[in-house]
Amino acid sequence: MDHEERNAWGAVIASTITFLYFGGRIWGATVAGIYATDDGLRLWAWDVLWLMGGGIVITIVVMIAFQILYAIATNTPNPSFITDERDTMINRRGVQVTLVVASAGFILAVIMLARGWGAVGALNTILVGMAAGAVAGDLYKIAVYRFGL
Amino acid sequence: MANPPIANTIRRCRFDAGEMTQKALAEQVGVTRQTIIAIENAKYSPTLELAFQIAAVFGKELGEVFTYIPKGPKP
Repeated sequence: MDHEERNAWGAVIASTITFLYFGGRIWGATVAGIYATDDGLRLWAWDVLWLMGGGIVITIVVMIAFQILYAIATNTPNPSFITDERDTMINRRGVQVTLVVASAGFILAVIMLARGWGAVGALNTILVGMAAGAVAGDLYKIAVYRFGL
Repeated sequence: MANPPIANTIRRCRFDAGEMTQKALAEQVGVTRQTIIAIENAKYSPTLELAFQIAAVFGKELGEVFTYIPKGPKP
């Protein structure tokens, strides 16, 4: 397993943890009506900022841990960290997948607003779209690495 | 995704070059071993620069290592 594939696996794990924990908190707050106040959007924004910051920390920890565990499990004390042209091509395609899925979330949010949904619902939809896009892009990269799709 | 229309003789060239390993070839041209595997199995078409570098490792011309397989005529 080369460096970029290991990164993709780590990113999927980190994204899943981040959005399950912080996304779950935001969803819980939404259901509880915490964002349905005059101050709701500001509270939502702060929770998303915490999600972003927490996501960065989780990603760093998970990536480092994954690399260490991989090296131990495969008895590879000096794993390769090369990123070559094929990795760049696969990364580029993964970004395209991410953009398509995230864009779908944005379009859905706009449709929701047009149909009378509230701002927080639309913003949560954008957030879910971005989360799904991130995971979809990394899963696509893993599929290409594994199965040469 | 269809296989790229480029065949190669890299595996044969490695054998002829003293049974060079995929890892050794990868290190010489600056790519990962997985990329060499993908190229050998015709799952990935290298850039022109990488193709020239691979051919140069074996002291061969580009056309001796890589072969373009044109697609059949359209009906």
